Formats: sequence, structure tokens, C-alpha cells
Amino acid sequence: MTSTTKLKVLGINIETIKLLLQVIIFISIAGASISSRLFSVIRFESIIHEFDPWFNFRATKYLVNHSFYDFLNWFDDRTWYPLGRVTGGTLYPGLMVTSGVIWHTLRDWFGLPIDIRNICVLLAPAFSGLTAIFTYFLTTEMKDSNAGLLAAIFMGIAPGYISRSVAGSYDNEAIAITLLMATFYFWIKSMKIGSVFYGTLTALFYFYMVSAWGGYVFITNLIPLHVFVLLLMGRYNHKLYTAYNTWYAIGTLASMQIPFVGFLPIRSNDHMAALGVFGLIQLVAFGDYIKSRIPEKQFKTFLTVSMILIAGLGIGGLIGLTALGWIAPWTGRFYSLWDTSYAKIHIPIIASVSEHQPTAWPAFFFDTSMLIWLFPVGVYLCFQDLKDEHLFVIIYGVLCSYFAGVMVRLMLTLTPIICVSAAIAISKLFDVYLDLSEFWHSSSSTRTKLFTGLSKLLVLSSFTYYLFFFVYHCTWVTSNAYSSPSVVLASKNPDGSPAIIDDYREAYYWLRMNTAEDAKVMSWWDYGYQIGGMADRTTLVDNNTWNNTHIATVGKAMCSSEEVAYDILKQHDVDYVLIIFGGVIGFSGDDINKFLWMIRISEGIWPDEIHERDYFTERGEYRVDGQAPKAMQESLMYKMSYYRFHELFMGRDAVDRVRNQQIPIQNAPELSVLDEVFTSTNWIVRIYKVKDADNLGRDLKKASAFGKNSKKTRIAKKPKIDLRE
Amino acid sequence: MIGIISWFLLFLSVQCIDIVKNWENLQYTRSIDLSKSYIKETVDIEAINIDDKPNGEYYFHIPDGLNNYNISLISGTFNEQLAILEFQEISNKLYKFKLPIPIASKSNAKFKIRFIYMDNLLPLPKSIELGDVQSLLIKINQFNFNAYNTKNYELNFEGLTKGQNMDIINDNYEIDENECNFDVPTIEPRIEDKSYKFGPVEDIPPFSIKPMGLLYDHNRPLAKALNLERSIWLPSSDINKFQIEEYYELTNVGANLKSGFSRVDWMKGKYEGMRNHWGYSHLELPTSIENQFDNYYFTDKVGMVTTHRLIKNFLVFEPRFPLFGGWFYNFTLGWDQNFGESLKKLDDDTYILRIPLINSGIDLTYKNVNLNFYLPENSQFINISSPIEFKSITYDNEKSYLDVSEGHNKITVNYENLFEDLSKVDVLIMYKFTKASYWWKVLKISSFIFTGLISYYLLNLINLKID
Repeated sequence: MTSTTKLKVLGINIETIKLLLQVIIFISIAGASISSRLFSVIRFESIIHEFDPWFNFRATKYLVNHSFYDFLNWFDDRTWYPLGRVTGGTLYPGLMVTSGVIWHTLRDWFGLPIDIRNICVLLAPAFSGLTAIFTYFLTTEMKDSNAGLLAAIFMGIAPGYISRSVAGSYDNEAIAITLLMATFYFWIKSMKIGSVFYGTLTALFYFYMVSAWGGYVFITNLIPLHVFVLLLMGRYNHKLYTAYNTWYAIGTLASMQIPFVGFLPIRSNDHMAALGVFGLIQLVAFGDYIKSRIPEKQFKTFLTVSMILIAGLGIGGLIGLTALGWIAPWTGRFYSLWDTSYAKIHIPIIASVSEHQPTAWPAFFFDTSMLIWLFPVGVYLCFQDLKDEHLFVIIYGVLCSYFAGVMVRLMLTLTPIICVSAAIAISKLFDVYLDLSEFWHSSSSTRTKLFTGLSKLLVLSSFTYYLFFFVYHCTWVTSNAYSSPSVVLASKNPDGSPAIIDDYREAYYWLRMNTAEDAKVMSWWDYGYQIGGMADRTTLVDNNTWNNTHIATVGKAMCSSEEVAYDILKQHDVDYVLIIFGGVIGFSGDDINKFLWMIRISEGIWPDEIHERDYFTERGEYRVDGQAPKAMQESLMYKMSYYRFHELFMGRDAVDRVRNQQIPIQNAPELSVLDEVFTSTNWIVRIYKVKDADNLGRDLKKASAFGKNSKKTRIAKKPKIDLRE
Repeated sequence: MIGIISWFLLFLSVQCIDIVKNWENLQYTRSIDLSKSYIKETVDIEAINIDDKPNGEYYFHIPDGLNNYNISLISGTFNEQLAILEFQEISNKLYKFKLPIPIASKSNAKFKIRFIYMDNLLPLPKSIELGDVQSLLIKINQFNFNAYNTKNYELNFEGLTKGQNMDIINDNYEIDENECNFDVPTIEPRIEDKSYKFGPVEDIPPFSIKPMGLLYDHNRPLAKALNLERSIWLPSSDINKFQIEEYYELTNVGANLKSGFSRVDWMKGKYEGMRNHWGYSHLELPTSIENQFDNYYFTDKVGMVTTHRLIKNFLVFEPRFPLFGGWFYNFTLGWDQNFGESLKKLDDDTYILRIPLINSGIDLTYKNVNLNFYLPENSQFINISSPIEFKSITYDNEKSYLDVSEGHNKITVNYENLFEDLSKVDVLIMYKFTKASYWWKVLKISSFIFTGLISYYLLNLINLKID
């Protein structure tokens, strides 16, 4: 403040009031963003959600019970049996280390021995508060603190981000978005002032991000792209040089310390852009130096020759190194970013994940509400100013819009920039329409004043309504769409009172309590992490999906006949087979509905034995009723799902409530290689035990048929009383 | 070699007690209650002092001699509850009690002795179908294993609907077989007043043994808590509430399922709501005036369990799945309890707390019970009083929320082989907690916070600006 006359309200400096207001607003934003993420805790309980978080939770427990080095060297022999998984070397430890540090700090320094589960559950909401703050700083750099506050509140409650950060969704993204915003903020700051200090901070947050989420590659490419565009626009300066080099040198060296990343930054093509721009900026700096020393004409020749040389060397080197296998080929996930049908054809395992599907258009509105149409306005306003930092918003916005359209999960990275742009737009609008000074300063007529006032009132009131509606929409979406733990399902009793369906935990706990500690459980990979986390038993495949063949093997066992499946089960020492069946209560996320993916994935490995076509009727329908094809009816999955299902219907045809199909009683499957050992209350989880080989060396089908026959004869002997009459 | 010596020493320890045969049992009646998952036996003895001089001691052997079960509790009264008898265990299952007054020569005395034992019931057949009725086999000595001659002997079994006795071969006797008397008369059972009776028979010599088995229908689960951690958390402030948390490791020691658990059969048989089914699906915990289970919760290792309800006089809990023989289930139950009458202040700083030994589930037995008292931080443990004998007591510290010194004082009292009725028994603990130690803790916490704030302020004074 340079002015000597300070404005005062009630004797208090206006700057103090502003600061106070800002602090109050910040606290409110943090409060809103944390509390709107607590629906599931209040409605259900403090529980880890979905699938991946169960692995993260298990890994965190391992970390707090062992040393950090044990954690990094952790070889987990309880997953991917019999292969095991080099867990310590194949995970991003940032999330677990963060929780571990918080746990230790609270316990050792503050005398608060909080259960690690609660820390894991509440980590995402806590970090969402921080995200709001970093979004504020980032947007403040773009415009001013008014826009910053708006961006912070948008970020705090936008469903696109909440979807991955409700209490209990203990996933890498929970902290990664915070780190993303922090890294970008420090990057803009360092780029603007050319500070080594801020460049270092950018690198440190980048390192934290690398340790936390595979999506760090986004930063690795976005910052170089920003720099590249600036260079193309001839906006090179020493500040940019300082900022980029500091970030790249420190950030890359630091990121290589993460075991899972290792030498990727100099080998993988994902990282080549950053390396290339690093080289380029050196050349540009050199050119800049040359330019200042030699006449313009000579410089042009120098430029042409060196450009051709560099381009040739660069492209040649890239091709050469890829051909030699020194640098990794492009990954499937990367291809599917450019060609949405790539995965479906080549890698069914990637396509089978629902979050890898292309985004449906309504999802954009669902996840960001009014921000989606304010977003282009914000980008347009950035074009108007087009300072270096605005370019960042534009690049980020354009890139992420494309990616979010390709993959649902990338909606998450788009949301922050939507919030920032929308905040810039609204704040600009408010700057204009909230400026009421002309009423008492301008000399315009009363009539003009009246119309101006009315139009201002109209715009302001409609935007107040939009803002109100935005909060309402966000709360509704969060409450209804993103707050289900999916481990526990909400339901209603016949009298309308709320009830919960707890079948998953029931079955997992049964496994944990009543099976041998080294029992091997086979299930589809979706449930691998949950079985590891809740049932504490060895699994064959899990959500890590690192070995496609192993997953295909499980798929083959599920879709083959009993005889073929039994050999696979025995080869893999399987003791129990676990399936999810929703036919009784109408739970649509069951294994029969995922069955086609099992078939497709195993067909990819055994195209001679498994044919997807065999599982469809002649008219190409997917049926489980009387018209179900033979391959379907004979598959292990079908048999396990409908085993003794008919008995619920008292001799009538069974009705599958998910697929709304009637299964005739004569289709009731019989099992000879498996024994039913547990079925949960609502039949969602069914567990079968693999039979041992028959004592008499018969095949199990014959043996169980013999067992059934002998039983029947015994019953037949009973009613002899009639003869006495 | 060492094994032989130790076996010999053990043999001596059993045999060296030379019991003077100065009593004769005129009447010796055993009543065995089989209605529960443990066995309650009552022995009514009328004895005469056959010595020349007054006699004030009686040796009582748990009347079995077949060493295959665990004794939970033994108690007795003298002459129609005139006085309570105090038992002293001499050796394995051999007790001595002193009479309140010596009995003159040729005079009679009456004792009523009750004892509880467990782990003696065997499901037979071991594995049954869901709809079958569970039968249990109890192996028992048909006669009285006693140091004295018995004039008249009777054996009654109660609390069973259907049973049959069978001869069994036993090769695991408690004492040297040469000392036992196997030459016993054959007695036929009869049914009278809903009980299964043997005898009366006359003139039974000391240490008579005839192993018998009784196979009877018992279609209730044999629920057992293998471990119970009962933790009492006492507050340091003056609030009228304290917390109790109990961790159970439950199992069913009854019959196993013949095949896997079939939900269809379970649903079709409607066993869930059945009181008389051998699958353990409900745990019932009685409420009391002192304990209404305020703010109670059930959790297990995968989170909250919601299948519970508080109905009249009972807290009913359904485990995630019913427990059949050999199945296990762990859970934690916690609640708040008002101090009410259970905490007394002896003087300004000394407190005495009365708490039931266990909070029993109906028809539940316990193998190993740890009763943990968490006294407030900086308090001082003085003494503990338990009406039944505990196996061990240990002292430790455990840090809980905002414990900034040593942590809570943890006193762990270990018991074994308990059963439901022991919830009527109270344990008393006396401890000292001064106002000064309370304020010292408050001061310590606030000084930490103050130091933190001051350091933040001081750090803010350092100018780190580089712009």
C-alpha cells in the first residue's frame, strides 16, 4: 500500500478486514469441501471404498507395521499366486508414506494414537481442503484473488473432483490432484519471476506427485509443452530458462529415486518431450547468445543449418533408440488415449475397466454443472490477455478436454482447469457488473442509470441463481452418485426403513475366519484387492492386472467346462472359488454381467479353445435362460452362479432378477468338481471349495454321480409301509 | 529319562496325600444338569465322623477320575447353608475344606457342593446335516470318586429330553489304576421326574470307577469364547461415565456341518429365527439396571456390524454368519456405562470401582479371559479383589489419546474357564488419583500447545522473502 490515506471502516484498516474476510472464506471453503465428502461416513461408516483403495490401505498397514525399507523391498507372495508381486517396486508409495507420516506424527508428537484406517479414510477430504487453497493461489496468479476465491470454492465442491476424493476413496488421486495444483502454482510462480527457489519448489512437488500417482506424466508433458509453445511464440527469456532448467534437473533426478519410476525419465517415450524441450531450451539459449554477438544475416544461416541438423539428429536418435530397445515402446494405455477403439481390439483388459471407457456427454454436465459452459468463456478471456501464464491455462484446457473425452477417469484432471477458467470468467463478469461506482460518479441521465442498474441486477441475480444451483447440484450429485462405498450397498426394508446389504464383508470375513491361512482363492480380478484386504487370503489375480496371461487363465477356468476348469484349478493349487451373483436381489454388477470380458480376455490367449461366439445364441443374444447356448450352460461360471438357485422358487422356473430371464428347472446346473461352502445372506457372494481328487481314482463327475445315486436308493427303500395294508 | 522322572514325581504328588478314612458318606447324591453348554453338578453329602476324635476337615475329589475336562468353579455350603465352605486345592481336582466347627465323633454333617466343568461334551456324530438334531456324548464316572466309603449313592441327570447310556472304554485315568475300584455293581437307569436316574445303590468302596457315556439330544449350540479381552477405561475427569470395550473370539465346539454351508437349506429350514438349532446365530447379552449398553457398537476386523438390536432386557447380536462346529468369528463390542453406584470415593483421592467379572452372553463359556483396567494417567493402583481365583495379574502402561506422560495404567487380570453365571460376580479395584496429578496433565498438555503457538509466532518473525 503506497497511498498515505488508508481506508478505514469502523476504525479498522480495510486491508485488515479484507484479510479477515479472506481467512473466514478460506475456512468456510475448506469446511464445505471436507464436509461434502463425508456423506458416506455419516450414512454408512468410516470404511475404505471400492477396490483399489483396499490395496492402498493394505499397503499402508504394511508400511506402519514394518520399516520404510521393508516396505520398498516388499515382495508380496499373497497375490498373483504362484508368481507373487514385487509390490514395493511396482507401486507409487506417496500415498502410503503420507498416511504413515501423519499416523506417526499424530501418535508420537501429539499423543493421538488414531487408527490407521481412519487416517486413510479421511485423507482425501483433508487434502481436498488443501487443493482448494492451491487452486486459489494458482488462479490468483492468473487474475486476482477474487477469481482465486471463486476457483477455490468451485474446486472444493465440483463433483468431478469429489468423485475421486470422498472419505474412504483412499486412492492415489486423493492426494495427486492437490499436488498437481501445487506443482502448477509453483511452476507459474517460478516462470513468472524466474526464481530458482520457486523452481525448486516446483520440482519438489513434482517429486511428491511422481511418488503418488502415475498421472505425473501429465505434468511431465504439460510443462514442456507450455515452454515449447512459449518458445515458438518467441517469448523466450532468462526467467523461463531458469525456471524450466531448475524444475527439470531437480525434478527428474528426484523422480528417479522412486523405484517404480527408476530410469523411465530417460528411457520412456512418455518422458521424451520434457527431455527434448530441455535440450531445445539450451539450444535456444545458445542461439540467443549467438544472436546477440553476430550480425543478423549470419545468424539466419546459422539458424537454418542448425535447425536441419538438430531435427535430423533428434528424429534419427528417437527411431534408433526405440529400434535398439533402449527406450520403451509406447504403452497400450497411451495408444488408447489417441484411438478410442484401440483397446477394445487389442487389449480387452484395459477396455474392460469401466473408468477407461470414453466419456458420455452428459457426464460433463453431471460432473461440473454450469462450469462446463463457463469454461470456454474463461479460456476466451485468457486469449484476450494472453500473458505467459494464460497460455498455460489454454494449453491445459485444450489438452485435457480431449483426454477427458477419451477416458472417463481423466475427467478428474480436467476439473481443476474448468474451475480455474470458470472462476476467471465469473470474476471478470462480477468485476464489471458489481461495479456500482458509476451510479454516483457518472454524469449520465437517470434513465440510462435505471437501465444499467436493471440490466446489472438481472445479470447478477441470474448468476446468483446459477451459483446457488451449482452448490445444490454438487451436493446432490455427491450425495447420490459418489458417496457409496460399493463394499456396502444401501437398501430398504419392506417397511421402508433403511437397511444395508453387507454381503461382501460377510463372505470375506467368513473366508478370513474359517479357511486355512494359506488358502488360495480364485475370483475375477476385480475382487482381488478386496479379498487381500478384507479376507486376508492369497489370490490368483487382482486389480493390479500386470499379467494378462494369468488373468486370462482365470477367465478360461471360469468360462470352460468343469473338466477343463478342474485341471486349471488344480494346477494353480486353488482351494476356493469366489463369485459374485446378483440374480437373487437384482444386483447388476455381478460376474455373469462381466462374463463376456472373461471370455474375451481368455480368447485373446487361447483363440483355439475359447470363442466368444459360442456364448451367444444364434441370434446373437446374450442369454442365461432356456435358450442359453451350450457353452454358456456348461461353463463353470454359469454353474456356480445358478447352483441350487431353483430351490428358492419351490419347483417353479427360477427368475434371474438382474437379466429378467426365466431359467427352466431342467436347466438347473449340477456341480461335480466343486462343493458349495458358503453363500452370503442375499446370495451376492458364493464360495465353492475345489474337491480333492477322488479316492478311488474315478473322475469327479462319475464319483459325484455315484454319490447321488446311492443317496436316492436309500430314500427309495423307505416307503414300504404301504404294502402292509 | 527326565520324562520318566517327572511322570514319577507327578504320580507321587497325586499319591502321596494319605487321606485318613475318618468319614463315611451316609448319603451321596450327584445331580448333573445338562441343559447348558457346560455342566453344572451338585453333590449332596451326608457324612458321619467315624473317628474317635472330633474332625474338622473333609477331602473332596471331583467325582470323576476321568481326566478330560476343566473345572470352572467350586463352591459349597455346610448344613443347609449355615456356613460357606472354603476349598483348598490339594492336587489336581482334589480339594480339602475345613468345616466351620469340628464335628464330634459319631456325629453327622451335611454338605452341598456345586461345581461347574466344561470341555467334556463331544458331539456324536461329529458332522451332521443342517436339519439334523445334534447329540452330545458326555463321558463320566458312573460312581463317586471319593476317598471314603459310601453307604448310599445316587446319580441323576437333568435337563435332557432324550438320552441313552453306553459303555465306553477309558484309558486315561487320573490316578494309578491299582488304587481304583473297578469292581462295581451294575445299575440300570430309569426315568423319574423328567430326570435320568441311576441308583440308589448301597456300599460303594472308595475310588470306585465305571466310565459311562451318555448320549443325549442337545439341539443348542456349544458357544465358546476362546478369548475375551474385557477392557474398562476409566476417565480422568469427573464425568459420570466410563467406557467398556470387549473383544471376543467366538467359536462353536458343537457338531460340524457335514457338507458346506448351503444358504438354500438355511433359508428353507428357517433356522435363523429358531431358538433350538445347533447353529450359533444369535448372541444374547442381558442388560441390567447398571448397564443399559449406552451408545453401544459392534465392529470386527472389516468394519461395523449392523445386525444387532436392543430389545427388552437383552442386547441381541447376530454374527455376520451363523457359527457351526469349528467355525470362528471375532468381534468387538463397546459401550458407555454410568458409574452410578459402582464407583465409591473412599477419601479425596482414593477410589474403589466395582465391576462384574464378565458381561455374559447367554449359555456362553469362556476359555481365556483378560480383564483389563485402564486407570487414568498418573494414577496409582492400590489393590484388586476378586471373589474367584485369577491365574495371573500384570501391570503395564498404554498410551491413549492425549497421554503425555507414561500413559494409562493398565492392570490385566487373567482368568480361565469361566461361564455365563459369573457375570453376577463383581471384581473390586482400588486406585488413587489425586487432583494434583489431574491438573499436572492438563498443565502439561496446555504448555505443549502454548509452546507450539509461540514457536509458530517466533518462526513468523524470520523474514524469508526472496522476491
